[in-house]
Amino acid sequence: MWRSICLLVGLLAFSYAPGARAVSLNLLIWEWDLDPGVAKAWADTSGTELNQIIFDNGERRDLLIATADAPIDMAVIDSGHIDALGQRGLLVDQGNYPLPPEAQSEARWRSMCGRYGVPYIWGGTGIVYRTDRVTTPPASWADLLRPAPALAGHIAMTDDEEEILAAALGFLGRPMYTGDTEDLKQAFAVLKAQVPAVLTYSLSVTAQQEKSFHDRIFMGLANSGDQRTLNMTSDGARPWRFVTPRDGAMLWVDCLAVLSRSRQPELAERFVAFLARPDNAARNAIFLQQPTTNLHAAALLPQAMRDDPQIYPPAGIPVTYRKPVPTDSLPLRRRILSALAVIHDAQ
Amino acid sequence: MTLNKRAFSLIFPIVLLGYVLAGGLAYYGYRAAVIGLQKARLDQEVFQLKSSYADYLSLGSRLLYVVRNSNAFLLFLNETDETYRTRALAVGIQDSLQSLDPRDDTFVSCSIFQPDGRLVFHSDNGQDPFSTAGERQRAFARAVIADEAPTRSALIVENDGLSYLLMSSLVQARTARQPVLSQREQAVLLQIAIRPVHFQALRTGLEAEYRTRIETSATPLAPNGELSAVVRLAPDLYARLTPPGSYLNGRFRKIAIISAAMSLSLSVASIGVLMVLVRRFVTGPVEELDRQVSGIMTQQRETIDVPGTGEVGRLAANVRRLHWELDQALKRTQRLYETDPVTGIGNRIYFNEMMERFFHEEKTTGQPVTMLFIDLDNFKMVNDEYGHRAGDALLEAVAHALVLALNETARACDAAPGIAARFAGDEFAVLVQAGPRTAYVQDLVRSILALFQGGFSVDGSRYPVTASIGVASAPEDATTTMLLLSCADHAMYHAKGSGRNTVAFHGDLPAFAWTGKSPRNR
Repeated sequence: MWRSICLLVGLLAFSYAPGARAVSLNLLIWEWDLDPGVAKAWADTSGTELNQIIFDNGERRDLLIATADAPIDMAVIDSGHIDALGQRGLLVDQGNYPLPPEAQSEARWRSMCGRYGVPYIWGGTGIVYRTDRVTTPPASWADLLRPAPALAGHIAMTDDEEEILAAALGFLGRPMYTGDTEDLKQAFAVLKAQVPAVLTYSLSVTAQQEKSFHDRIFMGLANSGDQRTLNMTSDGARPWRFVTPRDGAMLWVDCLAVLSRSRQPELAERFVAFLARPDNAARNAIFLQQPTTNLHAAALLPQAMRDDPQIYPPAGIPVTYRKPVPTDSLPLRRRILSALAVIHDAQ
Repeated sequence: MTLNKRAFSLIFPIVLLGYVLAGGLAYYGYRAAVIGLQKARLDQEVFQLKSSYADYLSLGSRLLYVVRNSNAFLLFLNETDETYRTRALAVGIQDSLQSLDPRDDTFVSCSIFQPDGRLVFHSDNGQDPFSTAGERQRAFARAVIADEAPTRSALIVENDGLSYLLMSSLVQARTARQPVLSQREQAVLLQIAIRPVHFQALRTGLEAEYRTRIETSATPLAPNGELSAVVRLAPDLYARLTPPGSYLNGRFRKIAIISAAMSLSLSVASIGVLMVLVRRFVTGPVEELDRQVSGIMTQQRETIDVPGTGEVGRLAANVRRLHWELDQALKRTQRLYETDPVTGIGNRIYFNEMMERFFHEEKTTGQPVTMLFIDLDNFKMVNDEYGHRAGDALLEAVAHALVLALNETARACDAAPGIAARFAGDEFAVLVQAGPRTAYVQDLVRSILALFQGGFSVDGSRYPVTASIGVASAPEDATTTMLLLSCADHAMYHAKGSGRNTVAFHGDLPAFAWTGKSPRNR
């Protein structure tokens, strides 16, 4: 995560470069989370520049948003985190900028994003794996958390404590958003037992690009759509697949938010509306290989995509929608992740 | 007591005393050196302790600095919404802390306490996410807040037995700067806790080595004895290491044993060398002189060697001279004792002595012994007529003639000459180592009788004395000296009875003539 902070600082410096003459918007977004064609279309339409500031950890993103002098106009924020920032007055109330009906998302996603965000894209948390390395495709959390001996040293877990604990709690059959310390203790025990098999506690898509981990990750905790990014960085081959574990899927929605401190709030809102347009949303979803939040846009997707279990979780799998974890349990979740990393480093 | 024993009894205590004194001095010198060295080592070890502690202090200072000066911490301080603070801001402090994580398994934690002492943030890099700031750490924080101390550090032991280096800093809520005195009541406390593992390992190692506890105190400590080291770990933390007396006793005992053994062995070696030298150059020559004198006393040697010119040499020379003089006097006395004063030949004592010797030789070599008993006939008449002076002159002349005849006959017969002695009055005896029938004895008898043919002349005067000779021999006639004398005496009387100036061989006498007793009761 320290690495990602450095990356951010570098990008911030870039955004301040004297060459940036035209009016521009700074968008805080995950890596490869926006179709370059859509971005170009926006630039062409608006005549403004769009700077993407990449993050790879939700909590560090929140910290940047909370830091008053970070030059950010818009941010992609998951539904579990957006309310805390919005209620603190850091985000623009989207109620003031109603979208036309066809640009509006499904109600379930709109309610999850709340007042301060417009649904951008949704997905699930599951398992990515390499088909050329894993003979038996993973089907449940156990395949990741109690991996086969051959996978030892080839597992990538994310550096998101909420996702890691959700997976372990899902494996245990406990509520993924529990605040119960006993549940968390059991989940920690499961994760601790998994440590020897773990290669890294960082996002698969980020780790894959690091030389020391390249080609060494066979399976990982990831979000739908990550298989696309992983395949893009796999030297031409496309071995990666995404699986939603049968014992419980966690669904999330990323929301697009405009920061209150943006100096071009109107332009930012125009960008939000641009992305929400069904054609752009569909185009973006096709690029991202993720489901769109807009049913009008979904209708524009190819049938194959709508039938792909990697994109749309198969029916019948119990679903939990991502929501804020109890505040009291958050420090403990963070320390569990930190402890796992320490135990891992000590090996 | 012999000279050697006397030398030993003198040398032994003196040498032993010398080495014991030297050993004692060496022991005390070495003891002082060991204490000095140990003190230097102790100083170095506590310095290492200080150095290790300083490393942790430095780490704590840097952590405090980084957290205090981080934007996240400032945001955290200024945020009153605890939910937002926890959800969005706390992770920033964790990041600040991790940016200085030593990554060497050193446990560090960061806690933030509100002015009322409540813990509002705690993060660490440990392996147990469910642990939190221990009771002692919280108590320390409360004390710092109560004392309004701007900064403070301490080494504490938590209830679980683990040591922690705590570094606390009061910060102003709005600025994260050090609060002014009047605002310390509202100040927040930032506390870093470090497990000083290396320091503890050093400390435990030292405590195990010296079998004592390292004392720590917030107030200055003074060294406790000659072997005690004090170090200032931090401005308000002092440590003292005082090894127990027993620590060096073992070594001192060893040194004492070695010193004693060295003293003793060197004493023995020195005494041995000294005794060899004393024996060779002092008592040896004296012993040798003693041996030579003893040899002379037991007649196993005749003279004394003079070893050099020293005192012993002079003593030997004097002893030799004394011996020579004594010997001469003894020989003189012996001669006088064994010599007949009238004739100058051997007397009866001399004769008996020689007879014993010849008998002894007869027993060992088988050489026969023959005795000629010679009695002058008519000698009383010479004394009565010519006076004792003429008688004495006659006796002297007969004695010389006998000796002459003995020597000449022996030479002629190539035999050992034998001896001649005056028995008493007019009686002489000759003793030869030959059988009675040998030519030597026969010639000798004849030449003696020839001396008295027609009387015996002395200084131109002829005296009518003749000689009667009795001959007996051993072992033919007798097996003891007494018997031989009796036999010869008997034979002589027989000769005298046969007509004077004649000889009678005891072996030729008729058996009845011999009664085994001397005719005279001699």
